[in-house]
Amino acid sequence: MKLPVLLSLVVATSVVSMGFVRIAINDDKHTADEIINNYITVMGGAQKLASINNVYMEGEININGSKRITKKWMVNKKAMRTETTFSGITSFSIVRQDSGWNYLPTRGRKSIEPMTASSVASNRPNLDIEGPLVNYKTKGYTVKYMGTDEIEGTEAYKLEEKINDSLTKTYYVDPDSHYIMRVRTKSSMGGRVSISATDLSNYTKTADGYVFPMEIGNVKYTLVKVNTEINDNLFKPIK
Amino acid sequence: MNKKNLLLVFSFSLLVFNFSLSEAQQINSYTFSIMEARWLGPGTMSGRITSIGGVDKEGKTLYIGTAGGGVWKTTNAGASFKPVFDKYCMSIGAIAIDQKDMNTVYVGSGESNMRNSVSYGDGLYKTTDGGDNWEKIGLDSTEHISKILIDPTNNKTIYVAAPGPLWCDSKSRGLYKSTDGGQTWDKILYIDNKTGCADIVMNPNNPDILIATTWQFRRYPYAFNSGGPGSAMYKSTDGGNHWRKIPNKSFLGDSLVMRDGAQVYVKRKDSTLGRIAVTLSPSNPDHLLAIVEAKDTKLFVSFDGGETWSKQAATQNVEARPFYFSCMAFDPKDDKRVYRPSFGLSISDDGGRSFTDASNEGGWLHSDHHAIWINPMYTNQIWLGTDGGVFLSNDRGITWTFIANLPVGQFYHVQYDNKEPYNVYGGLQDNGSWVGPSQWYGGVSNGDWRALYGGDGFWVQPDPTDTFRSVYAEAQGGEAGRVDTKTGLSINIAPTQTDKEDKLRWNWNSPIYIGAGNPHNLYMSCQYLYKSTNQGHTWARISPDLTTNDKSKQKQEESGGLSADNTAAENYCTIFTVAESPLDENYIYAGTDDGNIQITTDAGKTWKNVAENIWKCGIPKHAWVSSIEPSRFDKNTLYATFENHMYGDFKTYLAKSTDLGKTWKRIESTEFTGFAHKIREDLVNKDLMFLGTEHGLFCTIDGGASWFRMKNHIPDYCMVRDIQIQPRTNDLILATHGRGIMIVDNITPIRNMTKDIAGNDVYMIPMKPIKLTFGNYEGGFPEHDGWVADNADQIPPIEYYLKSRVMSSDVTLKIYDSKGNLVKEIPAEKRKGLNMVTWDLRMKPPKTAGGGSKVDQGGFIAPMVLPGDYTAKLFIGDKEYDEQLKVIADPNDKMSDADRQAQYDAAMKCMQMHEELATLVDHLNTVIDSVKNYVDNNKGNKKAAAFLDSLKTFKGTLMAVKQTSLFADEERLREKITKVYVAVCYQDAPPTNLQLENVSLLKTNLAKADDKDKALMTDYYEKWRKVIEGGGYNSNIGVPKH
Repeated sequence: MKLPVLLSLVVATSVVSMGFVRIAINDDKHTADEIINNYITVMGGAQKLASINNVYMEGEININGSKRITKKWMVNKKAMRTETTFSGITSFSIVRQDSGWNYLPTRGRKSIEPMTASSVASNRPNLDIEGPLVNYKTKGYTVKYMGTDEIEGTEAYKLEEKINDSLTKTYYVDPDSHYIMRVRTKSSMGGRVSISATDLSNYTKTADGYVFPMEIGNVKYTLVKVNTEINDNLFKPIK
Repeated sequence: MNKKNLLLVFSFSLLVFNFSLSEAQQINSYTFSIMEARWLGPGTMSGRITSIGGVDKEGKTLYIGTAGGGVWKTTNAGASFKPVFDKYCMSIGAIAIDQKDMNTVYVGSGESNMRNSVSYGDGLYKTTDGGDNWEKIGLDSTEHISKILIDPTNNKTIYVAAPGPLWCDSKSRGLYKSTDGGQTWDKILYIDNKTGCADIVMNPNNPDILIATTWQFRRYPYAFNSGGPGSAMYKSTDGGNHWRKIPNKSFLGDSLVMRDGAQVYVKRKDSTLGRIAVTLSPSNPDHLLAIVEAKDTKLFVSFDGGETWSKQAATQNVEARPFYFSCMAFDPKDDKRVYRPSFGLSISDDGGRSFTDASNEGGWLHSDHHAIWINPMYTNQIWLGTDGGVFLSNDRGITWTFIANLPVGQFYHVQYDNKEPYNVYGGLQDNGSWVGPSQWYGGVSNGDWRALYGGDGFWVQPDPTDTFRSVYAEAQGGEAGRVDTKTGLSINIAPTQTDKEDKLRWNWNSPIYIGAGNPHNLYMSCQYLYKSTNQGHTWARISPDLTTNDKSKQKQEESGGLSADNTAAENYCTIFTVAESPLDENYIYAGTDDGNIQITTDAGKTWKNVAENIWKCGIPKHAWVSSIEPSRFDKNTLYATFENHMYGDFKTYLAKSTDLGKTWKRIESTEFTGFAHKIREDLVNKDLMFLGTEHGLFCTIDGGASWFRMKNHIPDYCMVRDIQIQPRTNDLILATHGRGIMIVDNITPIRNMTKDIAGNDVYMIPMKPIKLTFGNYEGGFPEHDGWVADNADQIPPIEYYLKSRVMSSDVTLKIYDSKGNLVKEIPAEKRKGLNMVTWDLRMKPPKTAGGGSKVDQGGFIAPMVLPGDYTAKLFIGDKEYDEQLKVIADPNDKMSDADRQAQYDAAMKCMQMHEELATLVDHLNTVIDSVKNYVDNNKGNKKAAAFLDSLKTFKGTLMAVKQTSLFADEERLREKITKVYVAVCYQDAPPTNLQLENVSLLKTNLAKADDKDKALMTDYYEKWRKVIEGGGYNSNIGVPKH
């Protein structure tokens, strides 16, 4: 074999080899905006997200093989109702900008009970359908890129978002798909700090081009409809 | 081969190497992250506490720093704690909370209680969100930090006292200051590379006034020196820009000497000082106290801000062991009240003139104290950090309550037995030897642990030759006993000197070892190796002195410097580790603390020192041999770990020989951190090994070619001192020096993982047959016993590997029987790496009748399946992956096949009744809705109302519909079915005769209900439906109008 050809082969081999090595290297030079922009892109783009006025979702929760039906109605930045039905009994929670209610007959509570102000405050960001992370600056929030953290085997990007003095959300973003894997919420209510985490997966594009996580926590959603007619009575404390 | 071909071969090799590298990296720290370690504790005997910081304005948020367990935080005054520092160095020296912003906390790593076994730190850390996230902000090479002060008037100004490295001279010693919140640092007080800064206090009314103490000290593997010309006290009045030394003669106390047969005080001339602990009264900052180590350590008081000092008489406890007990505090509001945590706790009510001791009335207060925090809002409340954990007082230190939920025990070694469940045994720093179960009813709680032996605990060996009734345990310096676990009594078995030996030199942590080749062989070693074949009743010395026997390193009685301190901790030229080949009991290995590895192949008749061979592979001469692991796969292969940290070298040293020590090869990895303690080869897979170091646990699945740090719910830099693998359960058992015992249950998935498997996008791991089980170690009410560890999963999970996390598809696991019927659908994991999903060996629960006043429990209960062949189908999107499962009866189960079938049949009958009743009630509910709507809109129709009542009354016989309160039971047909259904499904026995009769009765009642329903429905369909439809009612039954 002639030397130039051999050299080319060596160089090519080395480049390819180094390429494999480079894939394995964890490059940690990222910014919050870069990660958020990638997320927005995979979620259909900023315009698509902004075009969502309301959402209706149906799904089920599998508990040891028993399934509970759950339904959720959301009107962007205004109200949300979540219903869960099992064994013919329906529980619900309603959150509005300035009020909220719970009805939990499965826990022996027969009346519709108002939510505390602090509980409403911690749920308020959830009324934002596109999520507090999108357009966070205009919403008055701050976001910091905190490096990476291991979430269930994945070295996820970690974004910390301060909503207000008593509410912080941490987003763990999958570096391959750019979807949010987990949201950790830390809230202070009456001197008590509460921390909860919700996993998201099965991101699916609907027929009309919207992308939603069809698995949120332990709920698997089977139906999602965007911008349909939603009766405002659903967000009133009526049994 | 010519040059051209050589190049070609090289290129190809490079390509292959990088392919391998990529595949190896597919298996990494996260591949097995689902296999989370259980933290067994104990919490009843905790570990050394090095610092406590509390939020002054609310008193219930505290951070606890530990010697080897990281930082734990409570926000509820100790009701619960969480570790908040598990990604970082576990040795904690100091903690300071910014009292203006309680979410900002500084942690200085590397405790400064400079005993022989102390670990080391890697700098200063800061959090601004209460411990959720941390950032290292410098001082990386200080290794030990004793104090952090924050200027209360300007929280950007911070002082850090760093005694500095213990095992070598270093320019990193000194006092540091930052004026920008830790972004940059200046060293503002530096004496020399032998002297660090031990303490600092600040006048809270004028933060520019500082008192700092410098400390000259050094430790060697065989000696400790505290004190020297560098030690002194300094004062600054301009925030550390300038320092003035307080003359040493200020601290010249009188020495008590014998003169002419009488004790007299003479003025001491030697003004050499050692460690000085200083404290300042917050309520009267000119009032200070100092414990000044000198030839005569004394307590001194100043009333003029440290300018002049006078000696105070004090108790032995006050003046004890100044290098180790460097803690003292004034009550924040009362400068007459002084606390001196030391060997015990001394309390003064006259500003340090006189002291009394704390009481044990509330419970034993552990000795050896290092940290104290007094709640300034409620000064009755005091938190104390001891060598055995945290204590809390609510009466100004008189009586104490132990905080039993901090599992930060410092084990040296761990062992196991083969009982069911197996027990773990280990020795704790300062806290004796313990045994606890690997699992227990309701979890492993504090009360399930049992103390076996006193002193500092190290090796504990349960004897397999007498069904583990005897256990060998030890205290420091070779004190060893054989404990009868039935009576609790022990017999001293330690070999003693005869006229044929020099004085026996026992390592502080002397090996007691049971032969891996022959468990009747019991070994103990000092500089000689002893062997017993009768449980220590008699001993034979089977070696000469196997150490270097360097006399210059055997002067421990002179150790301590200013304060004599010889507790066997500095004993040297001793054997530190012993091993016997699992393949041949005549092959015995001894590793010494001064670098020898001695090998015999004839049970001790002759010995060969292979130290020189080891040096050739890059292991430092005289590096401490920390462990030897003879391979169980090849008699000539052995592994050894070495550690050289006592010469200031923290590198990880691991080597392998395949020719019985003639030649060695170092095993290295860029992943390694911390000096090495233990190498453990797997029992089954020769390429699987685990390495425990001072800064982590590492694993290789390719014989050492590549390694990854294990992070399975194990702190990233955990101090892993010992590793065992239980042969029956395949559990990986870790002795950690600061986080108790940890267990990674059943490492078979790690054992069986290969690069080929990891190359698959999805791989279903073949399963062994699963035994039917009703579970073990179930508990009743939850424990209130401090720390409670979870039990292992009782059912082997279904395992599969995913190369990447699934983000855009549904992932479900379904179980099918041999006929292809769906048995159960289970939510599946979707993580990258190994996934484990447990099938509870039960079917899908029935649908139960709904629309009542409560959810019926029966809707969550399902019968156990019968033995047979099943298929687990993993669905990822539209792709399917199958794995066969065989479910078998447990041969030890008392249920026969006939019993099991009877149970199954009875459960299925109940299940069927539920389904039938559910169908009946579903339809009944729709009819009730329909009639109710009509009645509501036709209030005049009394007959319709009566018919509605009859429907409701009938429903009320089928299920609970009223339930006015949680405490008002309402048992109808549905609930009665559930009652017997639950009992039959969950008893590890066939149904009783009365249960079977009850089932029959319920079937009869259901049939009657069915008849009643038929009658009502006939009425409805033949008459009322027409009335309702004729009335124009919306025939979309069941949907409410809005």
